[in-house]
Amino acid sequence: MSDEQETQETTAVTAAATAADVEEPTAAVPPSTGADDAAAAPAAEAADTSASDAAPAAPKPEAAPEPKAEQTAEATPESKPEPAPVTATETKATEPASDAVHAAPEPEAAPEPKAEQTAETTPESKPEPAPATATETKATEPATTPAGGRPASARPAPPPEPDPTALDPRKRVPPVYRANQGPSQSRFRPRHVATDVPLEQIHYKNIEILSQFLDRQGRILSRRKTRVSAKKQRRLKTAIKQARHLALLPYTPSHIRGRR
Amino acid sequence: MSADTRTYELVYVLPPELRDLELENAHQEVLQVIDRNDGKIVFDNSWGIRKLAYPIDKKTEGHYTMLHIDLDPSKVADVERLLNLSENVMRYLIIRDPVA
Repeated sequence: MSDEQETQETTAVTAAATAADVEEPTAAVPPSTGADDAAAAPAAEAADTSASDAAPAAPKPEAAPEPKAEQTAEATPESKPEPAPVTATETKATEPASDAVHAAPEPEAAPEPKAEQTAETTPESKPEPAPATATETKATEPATTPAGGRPASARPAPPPEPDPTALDPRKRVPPVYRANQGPSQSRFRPRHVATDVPLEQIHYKNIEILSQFLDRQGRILSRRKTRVSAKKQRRLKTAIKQARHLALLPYTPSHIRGRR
Repeated sequence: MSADTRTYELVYVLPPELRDLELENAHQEVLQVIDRNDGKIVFDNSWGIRKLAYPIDKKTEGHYTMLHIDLDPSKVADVERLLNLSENVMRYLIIRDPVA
């Protein structure tokens, strides 16, 4: 996403530069440096200063927000409604972004808006939208962009519905089990998980399951690590010891490493 | 399973070098121990030759056999004693049948 944005911005900058070249070639340079920060606005502003004579201030500010609006529209269908109303010409679901683009270009800053959106659209597409819409987009966009500016990241946050399991530790889903990595470094580390092992499956013949409850040294993991019920832990203990007796499981690391 | 018996699960390990007849005789030896104690075999299952998790008597493999036996609880001790005396049985385990 950000990459996209950057590329678009850079293109925008270059476009702006070309546009600005007409008036002030040097002024266009600063924007390019500022563009790295993913701030389309600076570029637009810079363009404004450089090409102020070419285009009124109003249109250009828009140009900056638009790219974001595009992306938000793409990322989140909900955001579309806003841009769509602005330009009723194209109501396509995927189009809203482009619509916004069109709307923006119209004003006067043809080159700049283009550049930002040019990635997909051609410069010629600008003419379509009406100036009035452009002003509207201005008004709406500022509001939308702050929130939607970072669509990807902002999106996840909204899910406010409280997870019922979050409040009750007992219902918490245990972390994914990771193979025996040896003793954990702290007790705050993700716990061992095979807590859902059915009691009936705990017997000395079930080596696959039992070995999950051993560390790399072949030691039986504590309940603190296994988070298994006391009853199961007792069965595990017995089963592991029985399996060891029958040489199904090792007693000590030397049995593991010293395997001949 | 009558009132005076219980079902037990017996697993025993025989040396890997036993072959054919020797192996058969070793099995018979165990069966006789059970038979002598009025045990009745209700299920038997060979696990075949398995690698040991650690060497026993410098052997790294063993023939595993599992039996389910109906046996008088008071006779279990004697079965264990005889299995201990057995030259061939490297390891054994008698537990109550977890299913029963």
